[in-house]
Amino acid sequence: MTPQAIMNLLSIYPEVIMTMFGLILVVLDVMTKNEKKSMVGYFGIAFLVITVLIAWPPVGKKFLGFGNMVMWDSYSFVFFFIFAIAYSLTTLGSVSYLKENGILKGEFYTIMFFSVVGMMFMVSAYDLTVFYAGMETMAISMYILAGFNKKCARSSEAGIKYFIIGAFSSGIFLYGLTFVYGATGSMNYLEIAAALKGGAASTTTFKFGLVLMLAGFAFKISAVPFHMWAPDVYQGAPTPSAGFMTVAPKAAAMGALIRFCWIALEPVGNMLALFFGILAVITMTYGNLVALAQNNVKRMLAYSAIAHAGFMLMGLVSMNPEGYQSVALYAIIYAFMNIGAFTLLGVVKNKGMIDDERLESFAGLSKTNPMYALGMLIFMFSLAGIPPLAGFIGKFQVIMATMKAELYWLAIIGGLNSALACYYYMRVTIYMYFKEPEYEVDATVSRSAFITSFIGAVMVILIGFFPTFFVNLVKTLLV
Amino acid sequence: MNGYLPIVMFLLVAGTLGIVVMFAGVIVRPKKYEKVKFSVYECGMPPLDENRKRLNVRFYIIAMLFVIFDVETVFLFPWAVSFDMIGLFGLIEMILFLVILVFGYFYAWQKGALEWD
Amino acid sequence: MNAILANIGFWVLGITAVVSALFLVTRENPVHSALWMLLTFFCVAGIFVQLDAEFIAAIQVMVYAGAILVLYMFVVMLLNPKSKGFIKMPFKVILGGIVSFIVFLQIIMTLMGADIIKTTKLTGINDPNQLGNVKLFCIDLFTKYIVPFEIVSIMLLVAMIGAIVIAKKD
Repeated sequence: MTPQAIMNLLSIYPEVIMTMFGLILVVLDVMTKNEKKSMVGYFGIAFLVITVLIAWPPVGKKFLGFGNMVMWDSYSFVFFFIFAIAYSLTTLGSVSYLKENGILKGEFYTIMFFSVVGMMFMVSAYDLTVFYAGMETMAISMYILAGFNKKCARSSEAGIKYFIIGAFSSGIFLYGLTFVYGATGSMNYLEIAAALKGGAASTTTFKFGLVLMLAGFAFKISAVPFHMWAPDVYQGAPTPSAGFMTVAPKAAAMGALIRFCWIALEPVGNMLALFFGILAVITMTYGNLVALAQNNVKRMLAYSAIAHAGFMLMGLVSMNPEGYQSVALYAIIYAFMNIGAFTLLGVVKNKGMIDDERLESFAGLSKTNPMYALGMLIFMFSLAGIPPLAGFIGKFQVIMATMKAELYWLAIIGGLNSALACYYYMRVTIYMYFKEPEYEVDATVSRSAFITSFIGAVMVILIGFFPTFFVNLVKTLLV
Repeated sequence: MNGYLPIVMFLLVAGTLGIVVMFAGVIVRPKKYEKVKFSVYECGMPPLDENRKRLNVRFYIIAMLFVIFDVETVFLFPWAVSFDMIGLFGLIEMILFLVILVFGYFYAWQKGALEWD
Repeated sequence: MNAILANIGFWVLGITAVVSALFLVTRENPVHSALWMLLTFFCVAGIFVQLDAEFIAAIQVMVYAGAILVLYMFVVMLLNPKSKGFIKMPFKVILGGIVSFIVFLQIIMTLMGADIIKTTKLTGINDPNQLGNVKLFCIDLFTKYIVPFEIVSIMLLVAMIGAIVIAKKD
């Protein structure tokens, strides 16, 4: 073994282990009986825990292998950790929902597991080919998860819509990539950066290609004006996969985008800051304003996911280490609170003639099901960013990073937006606590949903009350 | 590029021949239009229905699996071309590639996707 | 002489590709669209050959003209769509048209003043004495780009599982 070969292996071993576990999951899925398919998901969680333990990186060490193509460092690890959290919470909470809808299949977990592998490659990529291959693996998995409930017309619609828009955005991204390749002569992040320093940055070819590539990225994180698919897809998809889709792919795209901007586009960073600033402002404001008008809680959460993506983009604008640390922290917190909220959303069943997720279903739930209402209250308050809870810490860190970069206008707009967002989150709690029940609603929290929402709520409170520990943890990992 | 000149010539000749023959037919053939001549021929019977029916969704799985294995072959082809240059390294690499896909094949087989029922 | 021939070839192939693509999106009968698509694919394959990218031309014919078109035909036959004419939404159509036109102009402008680096990675591309173009490409694919190559197999696995789980009756 030459040192080079060892380096290559070290740069990729978590992904290799994950792939082997994924293949084992495929076999497990074939071997388990129909009523025990949730075992596949639980095995997936076990495999993830093992991989997280094995892959824990020495802080500050960087393994860059395969001719500077793949990087395994603590940055990749933190994002892997976010995906692992999202996978585990979704799996725990999904079992009863999938069983009730008759779609409890092992493939749900297998495909989600492989999407995690794709996302890991996205974040650890140092080369656009690796990034793109990882992104497609993730995207194909997401199309399938969105259309997983094939007997439900809305879910199929979501799957097809997501697929068409996703394929379209991939096409735009690739077209831009060809221009960037033409202008810089390489697809490697480091070589692109070198070429940009050498003068390629001022060419029209590069600028045009970059705009197309960033548009492709913006599609993936559902930034306005590339968000059109998001509400329909998140609303139509089965609730557990919607929870996963709002968190993990977004975190992955963010992580990859940060790495791409931080390393490859470092010489043109100033040009990008304004671009991302405008994108962040439009995304936040639009997401929040439209969410105000929604009567369907699932659709409201979909628009709020757009707004949160805008907030995460703010961390990117500041272009300092605090910026991406805060984005990672935000993504972790968002994973806990959003998947928790979606899991609780999935258990509501309205016996009346309206959709389960309508706001009216939540009226008076505090009297019929106080535990449920309390859980939802915690998640809504956290999503709104009310001080003692984790959501506040995430928003606070992002705004602090923006302030440090002296982008006061952006910080002010961010603050105003989180105030705006309070309104529609509060509306759910007002319906739960101050309205009389209108319909007969069954919101019995099943055991699996209880575990997920309990973990989510506990973590939201813990991070909220002991922020320094978690903030420092993320900071030490992301030096 | 020069190697393709015969192919271009071939295509040109073939294309010209096709067009010439078609137009020659238009000029030479007798033209007698009747209603029966334009009706759909179905074993001499008057057609009962449209001939385009919805196919069973099973065909889709077969087509989809075909596409996936076709893409796999696309990677086998360059591998075979460059095998003498990449040697054992390439062999191991391709075995890894195929093993991952064999799992998919195994899955499809066990789930009955290759059967007609 | 050679350059002129190549130029003529490019224009013939390019114009045929664009025209058949236009026919592809305007036909009411989806089967006719599929046939126009076939012509587009072949023309694009011809352009790839002109660019000395024989391997990509081969893929274009094998995967697109072969597999993708078959899949397309199957979907047409599965759904048996009946044309309902064009849905009228003039404002969106006009807006979309303007945006596409601006992007189109931008692409043209960019390409006119393009300062593309002639990549020297695949040395000897036009040198008949050296290794063939396909071979050089393949060696790069299997040595330098080994990681993306293996990711592709994971992607294909996911696609296979997904296709079966979505389309299989249970």
